[in-house]
Amino acid sequence: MDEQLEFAGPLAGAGEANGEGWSLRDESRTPKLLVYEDFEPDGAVERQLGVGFGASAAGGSGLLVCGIRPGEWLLLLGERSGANPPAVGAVTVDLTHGVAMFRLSGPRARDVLASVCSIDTSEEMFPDGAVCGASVARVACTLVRDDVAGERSYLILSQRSSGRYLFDAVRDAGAR
Amino acid sequence: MSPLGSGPGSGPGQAPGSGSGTCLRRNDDRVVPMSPSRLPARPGEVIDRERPLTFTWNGGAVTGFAGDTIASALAASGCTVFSRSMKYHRPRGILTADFWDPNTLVQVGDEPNVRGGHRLLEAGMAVSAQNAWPSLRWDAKALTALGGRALSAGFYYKTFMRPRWLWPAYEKVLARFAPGGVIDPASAPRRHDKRYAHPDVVVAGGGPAGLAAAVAAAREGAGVLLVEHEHSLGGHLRWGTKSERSMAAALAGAAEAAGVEILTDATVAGRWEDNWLAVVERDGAGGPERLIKARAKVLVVAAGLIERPYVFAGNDRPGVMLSGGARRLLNLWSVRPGSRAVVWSANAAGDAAAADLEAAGVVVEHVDARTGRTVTAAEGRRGALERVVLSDGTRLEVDLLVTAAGWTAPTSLLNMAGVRPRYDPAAARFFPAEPGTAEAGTVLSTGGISGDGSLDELVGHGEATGRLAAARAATLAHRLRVATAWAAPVDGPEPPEVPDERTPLGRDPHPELYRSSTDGIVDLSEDVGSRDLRHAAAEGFDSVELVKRWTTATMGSAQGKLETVNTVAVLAEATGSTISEVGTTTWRPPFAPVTLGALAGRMFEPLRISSLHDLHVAAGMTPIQAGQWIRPEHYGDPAAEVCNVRANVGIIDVSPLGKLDIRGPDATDLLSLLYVNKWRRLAIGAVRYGVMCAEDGVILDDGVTGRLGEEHYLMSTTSSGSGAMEVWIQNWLQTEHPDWRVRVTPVTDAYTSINVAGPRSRVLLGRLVDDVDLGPEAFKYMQVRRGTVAGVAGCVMWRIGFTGELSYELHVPAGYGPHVWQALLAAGADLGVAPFGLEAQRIMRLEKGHFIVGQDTDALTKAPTAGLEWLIKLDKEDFCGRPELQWALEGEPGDAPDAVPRLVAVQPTDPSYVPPEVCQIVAATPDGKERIIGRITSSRFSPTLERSICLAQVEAVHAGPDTELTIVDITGRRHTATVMLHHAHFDPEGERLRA
Repeated sequence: MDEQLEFAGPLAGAGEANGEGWSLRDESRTPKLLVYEDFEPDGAVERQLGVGFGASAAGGSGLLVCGIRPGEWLLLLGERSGANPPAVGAVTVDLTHGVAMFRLSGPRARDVLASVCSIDTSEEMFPDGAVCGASVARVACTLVRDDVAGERSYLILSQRSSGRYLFDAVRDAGAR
Repeated sequence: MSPLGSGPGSGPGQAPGSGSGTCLRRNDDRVVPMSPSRLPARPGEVIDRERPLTFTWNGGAVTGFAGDTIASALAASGCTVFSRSMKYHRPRGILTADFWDPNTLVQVGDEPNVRGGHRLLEAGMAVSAQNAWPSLRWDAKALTALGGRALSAGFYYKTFMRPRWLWPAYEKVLARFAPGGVIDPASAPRRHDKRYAHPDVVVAGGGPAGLAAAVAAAREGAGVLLVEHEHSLGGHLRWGTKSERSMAAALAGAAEAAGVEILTDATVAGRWEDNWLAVVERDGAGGPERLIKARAKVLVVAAGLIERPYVFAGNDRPGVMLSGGARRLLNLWSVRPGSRAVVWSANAAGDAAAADLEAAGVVVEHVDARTGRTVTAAEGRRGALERVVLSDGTRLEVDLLVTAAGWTAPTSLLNMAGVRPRYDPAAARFFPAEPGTAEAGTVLSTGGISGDGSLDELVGHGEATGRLAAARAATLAHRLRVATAWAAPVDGPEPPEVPDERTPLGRDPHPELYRSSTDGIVDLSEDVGSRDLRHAAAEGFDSVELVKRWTTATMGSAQGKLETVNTVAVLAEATGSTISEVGTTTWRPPFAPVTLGALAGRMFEPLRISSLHDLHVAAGMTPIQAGQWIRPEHYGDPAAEVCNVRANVGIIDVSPLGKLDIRGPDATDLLSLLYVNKWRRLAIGAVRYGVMCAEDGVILDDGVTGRLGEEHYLMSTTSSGSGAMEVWIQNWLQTEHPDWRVRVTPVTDAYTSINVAGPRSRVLLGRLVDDVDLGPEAFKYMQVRRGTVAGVAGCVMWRIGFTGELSYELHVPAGYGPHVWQALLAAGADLGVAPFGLEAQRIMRLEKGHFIVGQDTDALTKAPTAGLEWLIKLDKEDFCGRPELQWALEGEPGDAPDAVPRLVAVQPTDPSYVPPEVCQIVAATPDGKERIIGRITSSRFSPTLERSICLAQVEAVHAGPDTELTIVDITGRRHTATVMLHHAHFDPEGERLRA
């Protein structure tokens, strides 16, 4: 991320919306790195990153490693952490600019999500740290449960071009 | 001698209500705002007498109370006729006083077909009768009853057929007789919400058994969603005795305490595989319905029993009411439904109704149906009941007839799970299964639908069902967690399968009472009588499924809940069969009628925008939606935009172009497989145009791919094809070549793509790029470079173009796209730089003769059609579409290549005429007629050439240069045009783009 240049996020105005028991925040600036398993998979990447498909783990310095598909990880490097990506994997692709990322938080975040997403987000089926692919308001997304200080919180990641629509759809669901 | 009338053979007696002081003068549809039928406050009533609500009924003011339904408020005000029947326009009054009441559908404001027996009253409601003209009392359409014999069921299948030319007239007349309310097209659209739920257990029905099941399941740790059809919990206990009401309250309190999610005024409308449930949550205040898509592990059906009408002459006359309807009016809303009543009862519910009515001061003649006495007629005038005739000839002068003839088990949710209901003649109703049959799987039943018993027995069965449901849900939950990568780890082994060891409910004996010796209405929603059903059987419709479709019985607003069993019984009688032999119709979703809005739900229509969207808006773009993308069609004058690009320099946002990052040692193998041309010798720093075909040789997509490194490519696809191409590529990789060492990552959104086009584009770009030599020799046409643009590092620059001009396609990290766009405009102000939109680009690509996949090709267009023979390399290894393309290029004479049409450039003789796209191209035949030989695929007026230009697909024999074609426009006019030598109308040698 070039700090000298103004990063244009997917939204036009305020990157935050709030309602009763929920908040939605744009965190698209977060550096994001896609990491693939080595071409000769021996599990080394998974061992190094510490999580497999369907799970996430904090790696220190604001790094969050998300196992988004078998043999694929999305590394969220923390908006201001300056965390460096681990040198792992056969291929790494920088998706910082291509992926919108929103954080839906609060005690009613789950209810808001239930209006736009069919995934079972109960504690048993989608605990803190869970990662899955999901349709959110008919946009293909990656959903990460990433509680903050004990408060329920979800990261919703989509292709950047759908970001504004997605933000509006989730905000609208919360408002209703 | 009865207190109400005379013995057999006696004549008419006193008119109903006369002298009672309780009847109102009713000389029009309005009722005076007083409450002759409202009783003093009673225990258990659900109305709030401190909150009177005024509304209008057919324009006249009426007052009810909060807690009233529309029907109860009107009944309290003395209204007896609420609607006219669907076909014969017979006056109709309250029958059930609940959701299923077929006679109280009304119009509320701009909302038609509101269930007056269910919808709660609101202040200011404008309620009116529907299906009547000019008024409810004097309904001219009732004249249709005179033609009753001609209007028997299915008459519309036989009439209005001939002469066919009269159909428009028939249609207009028939439309005036269409039943139901009126939709106001000017009404504001409603927003129907939707949500998803994943409860362990869904209990459908909040009566005593359902409540007990919900509580027991919740106490076992299950997440429970309880769905109750009515506005409050308790089922039949709500209008029962004090102790029954107390039990309902206790169970409801326990459910709340146990954490059960309770939905009242909601219905489980459908059940599909794996307990995918559609739960429709209504808004008692008339707001839009909300659809809940619930995936339940276990469904407990506790839908209770629905009282069944009895079929006899006049059974649809106002004043004829089911025992449940009478008790609800009395005990929930303190409305006395009549003053002198016959209660004809075959069961305890009817007996209770008689007792309740007597306690409310109604003079009651209690006729015990279990002794064999039946009702044969309900008689009266002008929509009022005046007397009841019994089977022994007794005539009773009354204004109310209450019947209690038995029950229908609403098993439809069970039927949707594959259960076939079984008829028990001893109990005179259908059951989900044979007595004592254990219920396997994840759909269970409890309560009246399963059997009979005391209240304690029903609650006990419900509790056992709840525990069983929770146990089975726990087993499923364990399996789901084990099978789901992101679920929390399971604790311990899988819980064992739990057998159904519930003590079954009993079955109370009940006389089979369906039809009297007279004929009456079987389906009150659809106005289908027992005579209609017999006629249908006589015509050969002897299957209940056929009878249903021929007569429409069971297809109305009650959805079979009131009339299915009577329909079956009448058909059995007509065909000499038993009810078991006839069976039931198939009960499909929905369980109860649902608004189309709720089914449609909230509409999610994703849109995509580029990072430059706000800049385009600020620049005054006219937007166009292309797929999900919102793009600038133009900024005011597309022709001027074309001229500016040809003369100066323009920039266009082409971010929607699909972009795929391809890396790995086998990346070249992948490209060779996908494209019809060769890729092995593509140098690093070069780009190449490629076309992808399907296995049948049909063009799928095209674009350019640049080699960024030894094992690294950036592929572009069409904007509309980007998603499909990603799937196409992944499909090949995952199913045919999982061994290939290659990773394909969609990066469409990672880059803002800007095409800088025009003779001054090199100058402009040179002002913003200083780490790439843009000179014509250093950066040639069809090459790629990586560098820094306006201070943004990591940009990919392709020297390609769709416009035919010297141009550079910049792929900039999307977050910095606006910065680069603005920098280009600022740096090129003196060069005349200006943005151009999609329309200008389309004009220029047509001038240049570039085809667009999907516009100039279709689902049959193979590569040779588009003139791509030069691209197809049969001397390379196998690739997608090779066999078909080889046949097309080398096939037998007469088959190929002449067999496929050709894409050609066409110019109309009249340079000002622009034929609309998809205009047909015809040729004369030897017999003097014409046949279609092709079509215009693209057409525009070229501001560069100042004439119309086209691309067209024509048969190969008509594709030669200078061939004259005939274009037929939409009005049938013919226009001549000429096939051109090249696809390109402009700069066919490509001198400008190679400059």
